[in-house]
Amino acid sequence: MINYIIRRILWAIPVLLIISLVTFGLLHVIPGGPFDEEKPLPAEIIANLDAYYGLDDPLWKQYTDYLWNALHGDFGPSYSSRSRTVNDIISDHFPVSAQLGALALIIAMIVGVPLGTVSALKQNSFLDYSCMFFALLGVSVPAMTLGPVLIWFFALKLRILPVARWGTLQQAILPAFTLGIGRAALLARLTRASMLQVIREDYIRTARSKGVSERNVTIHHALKNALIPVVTVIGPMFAALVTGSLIVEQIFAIPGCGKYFVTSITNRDYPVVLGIMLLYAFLIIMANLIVDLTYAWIDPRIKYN
Amino acid sequence: MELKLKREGKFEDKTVTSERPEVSLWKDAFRRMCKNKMAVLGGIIIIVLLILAIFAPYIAPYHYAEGNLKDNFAQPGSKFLLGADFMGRDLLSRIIYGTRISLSVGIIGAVTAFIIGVFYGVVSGYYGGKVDNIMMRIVDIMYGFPTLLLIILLMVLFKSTFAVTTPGTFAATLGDIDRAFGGLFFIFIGIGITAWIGIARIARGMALSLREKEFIEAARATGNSNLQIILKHVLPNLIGPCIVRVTLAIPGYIIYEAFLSFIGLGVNPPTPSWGMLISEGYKAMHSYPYLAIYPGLALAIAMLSFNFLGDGLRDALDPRMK
Amino acid sequence: MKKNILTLILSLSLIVGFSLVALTAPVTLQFNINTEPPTLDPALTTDTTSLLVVGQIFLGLTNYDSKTGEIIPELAKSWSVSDDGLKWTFQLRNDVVWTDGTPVTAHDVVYSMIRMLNPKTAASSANLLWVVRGAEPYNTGQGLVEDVGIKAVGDYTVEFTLEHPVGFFSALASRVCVTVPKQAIEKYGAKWIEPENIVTDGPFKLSEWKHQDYLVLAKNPDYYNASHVSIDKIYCPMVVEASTAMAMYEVGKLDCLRDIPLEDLDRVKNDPILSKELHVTKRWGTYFYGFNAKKPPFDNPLVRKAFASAIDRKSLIEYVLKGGQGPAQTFISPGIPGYIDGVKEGIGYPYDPEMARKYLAEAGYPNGKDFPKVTLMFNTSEAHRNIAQAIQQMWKDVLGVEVNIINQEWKVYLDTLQQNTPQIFRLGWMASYPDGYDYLKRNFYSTVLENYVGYKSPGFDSSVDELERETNPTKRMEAFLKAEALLCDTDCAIVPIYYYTMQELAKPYVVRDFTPTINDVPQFKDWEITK
Repeated sequence: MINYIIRRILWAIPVLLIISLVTFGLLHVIPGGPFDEEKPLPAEIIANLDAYYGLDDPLWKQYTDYLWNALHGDFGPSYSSRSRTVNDIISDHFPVSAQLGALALIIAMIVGVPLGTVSALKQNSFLDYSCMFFALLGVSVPAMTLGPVLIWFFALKLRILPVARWGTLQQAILPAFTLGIGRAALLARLTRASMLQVIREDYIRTARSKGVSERNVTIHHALKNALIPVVTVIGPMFAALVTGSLIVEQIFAIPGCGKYFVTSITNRDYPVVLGIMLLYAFLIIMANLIVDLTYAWIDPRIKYN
Repeated sequence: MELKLKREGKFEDKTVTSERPEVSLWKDAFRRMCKNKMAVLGGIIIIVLLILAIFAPYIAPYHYAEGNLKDNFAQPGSKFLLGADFMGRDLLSRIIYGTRISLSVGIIGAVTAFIIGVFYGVVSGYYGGKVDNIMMRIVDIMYGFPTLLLIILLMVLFKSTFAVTTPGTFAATLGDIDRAFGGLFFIFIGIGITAWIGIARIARGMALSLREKEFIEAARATGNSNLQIILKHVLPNLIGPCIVRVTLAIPGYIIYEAFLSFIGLGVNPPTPSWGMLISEGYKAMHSYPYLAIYPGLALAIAMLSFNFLGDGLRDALDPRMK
Repeated sequence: MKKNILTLILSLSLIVGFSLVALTAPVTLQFNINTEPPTLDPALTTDTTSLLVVGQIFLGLTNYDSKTGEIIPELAKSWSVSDDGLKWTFQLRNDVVWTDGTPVTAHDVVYSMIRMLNPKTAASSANLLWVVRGAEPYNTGQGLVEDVGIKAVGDYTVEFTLEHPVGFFSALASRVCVTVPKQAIEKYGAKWIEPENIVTDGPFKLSEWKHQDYLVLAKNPDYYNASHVSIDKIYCPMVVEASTAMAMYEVGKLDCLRDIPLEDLDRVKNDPILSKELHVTKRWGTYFYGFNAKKPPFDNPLVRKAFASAIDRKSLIEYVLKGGQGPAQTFISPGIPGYIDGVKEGIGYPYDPEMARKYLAEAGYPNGKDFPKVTLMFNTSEAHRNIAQAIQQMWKDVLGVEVNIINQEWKVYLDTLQQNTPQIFRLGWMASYPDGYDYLKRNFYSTVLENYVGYKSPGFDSSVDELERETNPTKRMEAFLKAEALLCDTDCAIVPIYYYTMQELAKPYVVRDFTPTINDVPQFKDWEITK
């Protein structure tokens, strides 16, 4: 078991390496360099800039230099924000994306799990259909429609919530909701399926026949076990929320990593793109690893050899 | 499983009695799905959308690119049922034509994911051993890639390299194909590159477990080649869950296209994909809300339908739900 | 009774207290700067956001009057030119200090200029200084710093020795001769612009900077004209989404709004309150489509003229742009020395569908028959897309031709323009300093990199050369006329479409003027808030 964990963690390293190589390659295949400005610079000045950043070295050297520095914790300078390094940028903006992701996750859970539970308990009834419908509605209305609708209604019409930006709890409500409501459907579906399965299990029938109240059966016995698959999904869901927050960040003017990624590609800010890509990949790999480990811990029948 | 044995040519003389009347998996599933009202509704809506997509030129009141600047931002009314956009083009017509784009992206994405994923997963799971190891390592790597970011990178690459090039080269031909598709070709490729992974995992898992079952052993013992086994025994059992998974993934592909169009990496104007319509309309939320809401509504309805259908399919194919 | 008196006293003190607070509350302006400034180093700035912030916190040798385009003193209180036009002498003020207390001297100016020309700095606008003797060789790594013609004479006089006479050098100086603090740069290196390290000398100073989120500019009490500055604090959030910024303006979180979304323009114009807050500012820039005369069918001038005459600028402006823009038939914008009124002088191609069809027929494609499919390219942006779609339709309606429109994002687009110039492409030009020479030389001079249309006209080049050296205004206007006539009329190398304007919303308590500025940098020191 420990062997398995160690092997999986070690496996993350070549995965990250390959991701860095592919990203590096793609970036350099895309035409256009970091210093093509709005008013194009004379060739000599671009040459100066390239030399300053080591962009006139052969590609393989640029890549190995990057790896060597990365291993020492230095992820390079930003080509567009001249006074900042990638480390600065990530440490400033990643926490914001992470907070947004976390809040979105909480909303997804608060909405999704109860809806799924009610659906399962009243399977195939009108309530079942309605709950699933509402959950699915959340996933079907795209963020780029939902966001502006919410802003228009709560910020402009009712004036009870701020329009945009980040920092206070009120500012976080609309974007977290926009981002998280989509996942609520997934959680609802998962909870429902899982509940349906658990309810039919023998030990539930036993509890009922023992005379345990319906409410106790639901909460103490069924829900606890039904939530296990849900809990395992939370890790990757958090990773997905954080890495997928681009649109919400743009609409609500939130200074997170997602917004930065798109502008970095546009600016050909190679180190920033690589840095964010690797960070997100690391997040996803770790989340997947935790899921697998949780399954292994829960179900002793699964052998990992 | 005993029902399948009954059909095996080599075992025709061996009849196995069962208590229930013989019902094929698919007939049974279909029957159960019909009982699920939401799934049926979803299916009907999808069929309607397909009709809209195929017969768009006959159904839509205007062509998607025709518009008079003087009609810009016209309110919904008798001339423009859902209003007109900034160039005086009818929103309803554009939404109808947009069905083509979104559905093709969804369906082609699904088909690509299905074919590549199933093929990859079956080969990996059935043959097992070293082959499985290597193939799954590749899947692991792909899994680690933040999909959204990868697609953005790929789309930037495609759009820049193939958009305008010297005629006669391979790159230019690809560019021409892309233009013929209204800018969709590279979106298909972009989505295709990332979509097959989930299916591959499922297919592989199932192939892996099926491999150990007795009837496979029996089939091998009677001299069936690996290919025959795969085609006759393994695939039919996998197809169900894979189709479910793929159907449920279609909304995701549609959203990808919408998202790409939103950040300017999608279709070329004046092609009216729903994503393009939403990105053109969301800013008008406060002034001309219909421009923002109707395309979003269309997208939502399509996604809901695929979700209901997929959910229904999954419930219907799950033996535990009997 | 006692209770009532107590309440009265409490209320009174509250009222007095609040009033005091209100009176002494800092006068704050909330101004959206859209994006994060990539840098605040004057030598490295090229984008408008950085230029905006730099324009508030640093001083240039000269400045310009936005109403007249005239060059006015700033760090330099006066200047003079030698008779041969080669030596410019600037007398500096002696009362300007850095925010760390040290005085700003001629040595700072020389240091800043040499630093800008130093190839290691990789300054983006260094080429604007190449008119100075020895500057180009030094900047391209082929010359010595000692040979550069910039010298300090005493503590408050700077001498520039030029390669050849340059009539508009003082205008150039307003943009490029910005002084930077040697002490901060040498101490902090690349991080000298961070708020805790930066040292400035302008009307405002950088007091806070949360990257990608907002920055705050505070009034600089040591600015030599501080008594004139009435705003204490400028809060600058960085909101990219125009519709989000619009919503913020409507709830009062922004006091000005520059990019009004197209979709909201009609509503704003019809709203009783918002319509009064709407102002149209002219900008010193021109939007144009260029033709690649090396690619058929645009090698035929008749085809170019046909396409130019088929563009209905009025409809475009009224229905697509909605910004009160001015239709353009010539390239240099109104208000910039060198502007030629195309309609009055009969230069350029106004909208004339009859003539357009005639040109096309003469070129061999009557009614667009057999006309090959051509491509129009533009860089990704909703505005360009809207305009391209509208014009694509116009060409179809008037000429019967099919035009493909393709967008690429900026970096790729620039690459494409250089490597494989499309048949028709979109570009715009904003003035770097108040003189039309900038427009012509930087874009269409035969040897210049940015000459994507590949314009090679000896007549044009010689006019532009004359504009560089000539100081006599009448002779200069003649040269401008000649150049524009060749560019936009005889050769029809490009078709100018409109002169930029900016529609701004400004709350009624913001007192300011709405005149054009270089690079759209507002002069906040001249604004007032009456709240």
